[in-house]
Amino acid sequence: MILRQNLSPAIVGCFCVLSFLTVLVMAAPWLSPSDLSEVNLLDRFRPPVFMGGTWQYPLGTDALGRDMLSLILRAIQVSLTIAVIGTIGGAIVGTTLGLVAAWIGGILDAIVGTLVDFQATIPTLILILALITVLPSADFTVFVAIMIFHGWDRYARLARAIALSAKSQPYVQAQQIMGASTFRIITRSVLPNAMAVLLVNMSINFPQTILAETTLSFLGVGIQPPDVSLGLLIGIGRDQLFNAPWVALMPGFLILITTISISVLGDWARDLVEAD
Amino acid sequence: MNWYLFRLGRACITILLLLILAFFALAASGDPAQILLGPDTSQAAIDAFREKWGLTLPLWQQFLIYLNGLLHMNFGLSYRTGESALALVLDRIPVTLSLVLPTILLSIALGVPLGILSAMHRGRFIDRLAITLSVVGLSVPSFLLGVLAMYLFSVKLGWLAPSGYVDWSSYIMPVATLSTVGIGTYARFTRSAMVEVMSRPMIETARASGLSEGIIHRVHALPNALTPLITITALEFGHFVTYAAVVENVFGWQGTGSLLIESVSARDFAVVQAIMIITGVTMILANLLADLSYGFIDPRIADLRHRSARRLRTVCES
Amino acid sequence: MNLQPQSQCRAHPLISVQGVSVVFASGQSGSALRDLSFDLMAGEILGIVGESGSGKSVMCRAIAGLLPPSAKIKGQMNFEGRPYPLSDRRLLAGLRGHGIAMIFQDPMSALDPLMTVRRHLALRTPGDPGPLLTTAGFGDPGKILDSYPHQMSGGQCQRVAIACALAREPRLLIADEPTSALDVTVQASILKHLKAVAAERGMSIIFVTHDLAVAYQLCNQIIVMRNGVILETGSAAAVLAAPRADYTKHLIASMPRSRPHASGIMPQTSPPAGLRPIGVPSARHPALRLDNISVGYKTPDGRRFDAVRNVSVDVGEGEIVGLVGESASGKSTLAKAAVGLVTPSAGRISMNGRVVDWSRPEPSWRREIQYIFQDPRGALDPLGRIVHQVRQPLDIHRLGDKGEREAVARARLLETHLDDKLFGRKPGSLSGGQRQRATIARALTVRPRVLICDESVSALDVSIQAKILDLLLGLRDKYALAILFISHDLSVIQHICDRVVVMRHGKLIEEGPTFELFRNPTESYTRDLIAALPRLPDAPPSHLSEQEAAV
Repeated sequence: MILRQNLSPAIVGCFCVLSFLTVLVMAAPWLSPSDLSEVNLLDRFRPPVFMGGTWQYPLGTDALGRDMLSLILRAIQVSLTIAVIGTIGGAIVGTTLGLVAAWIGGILDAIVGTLVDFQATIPTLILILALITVLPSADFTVFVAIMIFHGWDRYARLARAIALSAKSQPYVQAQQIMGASTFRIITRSVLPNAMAVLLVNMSINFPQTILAETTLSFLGVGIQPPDVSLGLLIGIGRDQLFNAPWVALMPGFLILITTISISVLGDWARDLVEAD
Repeated sequence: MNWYLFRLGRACITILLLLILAFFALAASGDPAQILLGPDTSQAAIDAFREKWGLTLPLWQQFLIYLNGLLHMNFGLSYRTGESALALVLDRIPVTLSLVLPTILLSIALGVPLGILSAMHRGRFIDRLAITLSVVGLSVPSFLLGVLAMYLFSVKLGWLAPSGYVDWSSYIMPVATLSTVGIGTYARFTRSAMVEVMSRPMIETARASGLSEGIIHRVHALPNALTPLITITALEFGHFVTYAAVVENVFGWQGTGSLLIESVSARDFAVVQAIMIITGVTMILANLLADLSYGFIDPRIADLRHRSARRLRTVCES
Repeated sequence: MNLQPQSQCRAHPLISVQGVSVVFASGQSGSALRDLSFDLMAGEILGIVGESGSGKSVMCRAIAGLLPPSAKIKGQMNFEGRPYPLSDRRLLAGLRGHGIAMIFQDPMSALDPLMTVRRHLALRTPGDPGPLLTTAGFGDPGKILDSYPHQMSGGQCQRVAIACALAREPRLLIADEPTSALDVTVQASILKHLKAVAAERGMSIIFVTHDLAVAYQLCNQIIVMRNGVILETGSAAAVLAAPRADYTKHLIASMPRSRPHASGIMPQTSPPAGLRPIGVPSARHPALRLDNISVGYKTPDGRRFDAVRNVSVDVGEGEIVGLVGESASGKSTLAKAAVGLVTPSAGRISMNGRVVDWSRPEPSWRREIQYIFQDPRGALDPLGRIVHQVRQPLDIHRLGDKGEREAVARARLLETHLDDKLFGRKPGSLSGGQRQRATIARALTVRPRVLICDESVSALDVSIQAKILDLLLGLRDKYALAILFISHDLSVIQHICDRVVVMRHGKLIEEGPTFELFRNPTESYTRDLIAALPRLPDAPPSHLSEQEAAV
């Protein structure tokens, strides 16, 4: 009922965009016409079909003559995968820490609280850049870890607040009085009731994670060539804005619709949760 | 315990954490002897170097030496240029501030009124505009905005110089790019704060005793909704500094941000560390100031210092 | 216009409401009104009485023009001889302040936390705030003028809110349950001042309340509402002493009041189902003994603060002991200490002669004592089905197999008279009374010997409250339960308890058998409490017992 009442065309559109992107990510290896490392210097800067190009390269080529369609498919795959795993990982780490800290209290709570405060105060991107400087190499796995680090504090803060308020909720106290174990209370009562809020927070955090990864890659300190991400493609393309604008604009457009879709859906989901 | 002291202590702990992090990152970034002396140096020379710089001491003593160095404004030398890291950073700070300060002013000047209008005309055009702006501002990466702006105004229209500082018009694209994020943030925050305050029972009470909507907005809603803006601004300052790094990079400005990125790419940790510590300490102090200022603005916080047992008893009982 | 003075006012009502109907566009957010009309003379006090969902608050907001835009309003009112269509919110807004003013239930959130009392009043009147505050009941207004809301108690906040409402000298004050969140002594004083202001200024008051006794004490006229319709109207004495509508009769009969057999002598009414002789508290070891309990907190500035100081209470088998006190008396803290939700700083808790230490609980102790919360909505997990939640204690203690647990849960739910169609529902779709039945059933699954009821009926409407109280009495008789019954409401205590313990500021003030204590309180504080209790006119006693027998 509620779902149907609030479904506007914009929401449906956002759902469609995200489903389409998910399919692309899944099917990327099969859809991709050519290998990423396939360099063809004779075919440099071919425009995409809609800018007067040919169907040989539907989305054109870059400065090395690589097929843009293949590049973009791989880039979406890399960027979205990092963002998804990073967001979920951050949610798990942060939520667990926040819940445990609030429930146990004392020194553990103080430590987690200080860490959360620390990360909220110091700009996270600068911390990450410092990390990248000292890490030997920033490959895919390291990047996922960095993205987990990027978002955990918000979940920890939220989960801590939820657990603290749950502790004073009669239905949780009722379970304590019944003799339920802490583990049972947290897993059977607190978590299920906090799920909606946590999911909404994930939908808000997800675009932030994409933002962070693409920004780092754009700046040349993220995903390293020969692998590509959406940010890296734009970074490469911005030097050719004059003669080959499509190299930067197409991945830019993809980031735009992805993050906006998720944000709109996140806002919508939050309104739903708050309306309850 | 005195609340101010408590807050101060917290700030000190955070600074200490920052320094510990910086120190360990430095220690992990590799053996300075190897890096500074090069790979061909003899083992004896390396040992001598290590002895000289205290690298054989226990870690905690090294940390104290490091702290002592920081207190004397010694942030180490840049591996790339051999210059003092601090001097390199200080040199670039004015450029970054010249981008960030106008951005903050512009964001507040446009974002806050937009948020207020949007809250007062919910569902109307101005509200949709504010919501759209804040979604765009918060979900589109600033580098992308910058690149798009550059494509439109420099490549397509040829109105503005694509990069570097030429004249005052060079400010337009970077500041506008940064402000899009800022205006979105402030509009969104102000809107939701206003909506929340306007739904409080005190607003209905004020109406019921005959105050006009105008007075209610001015004396009740705005002060209550806007007080938290102090914290938001302190936190936003950090975000702006980060985004400035991106925007400087896009538009080719020589600020701390572009210095940071260059240094990260070159693994010049001394400079990265200097930027991290300076930005971090600035942020910690800004947050501290913001928190302390509530002591003067919000009577509830002012009272935390001598909260009476009577109030507490009410709290316990409820 | 104002040439004809008093006589005109006498002849015409100050406010005359005709044919008010309200429909909410979104549906549930409030009950609709259907075609209401009433008159109110200048200087008179009109009580609007009804249970939750009766539409009494909606009607007041309609008159004051404070309903949200989603409400579609029809009807009109004549105010001081002028017609106002109630759908025109802008016109009504012009009336607020000097014509109509309104105060609300929750005083703590009624004032702006960033403003002193002085500024609150200065916004409304340029004059001296002192006399206004005196009118609202402050003995020494100078003391309070520069306070912020968080520095004041609920009663003080409500008085300031009243002063704000009176600042522009309204002709009509609408008060929507203004004293329901306050202590009974504070309530008495506020009611007294409201009555005085009305008499002094010739101001009319519309007083909304769920409490018939309060309405009887304060009002000249009474309207009884239910489901958005006026059921009965008339003078307070007539309506409450000789009600005509069945619903009013039912409401009056549901009011808790002293029962002759609540004095510790268990009467003939108890069914013979119990296993042990009933009502004879076993003298050797009471089911629950709280021995010299103290509970201390640390204040933020590091000082210690005792919420409970050296309180001892015994509850015998089959006995209901009432723990009564105003807010901040420490009664809830004591109750929480009894089940280990709060750790006492000193003292000993024993059950059935064994000392229990909740910091090292044994599972079997948990089965012997159970707790019923004030808010049944909060006490149930919003996501779990009723029957599963009632089964939960058995799951936790691993008693019986799954089928048996389910059977026990159903049996307990039936015992609390919950309709079995509701067993598979989630708490959200149940009413307050139904939810409270479910929490009682849940508490009973493990067959506890001791039950602690913490304001367990305070959030319920009177008619439902009466049924839950009867349910508790029945269960006590059946299982010889020892019940510690915490309440701020003396009339409920008087209704249900065998013995009463009075607390104030964390200390035990007085204790004794209910009947004795109410008839002859020794402490002056207890006397004040009892005196402040609003009372109905004495109803024929047959009324009550009939009603009880029916339930």
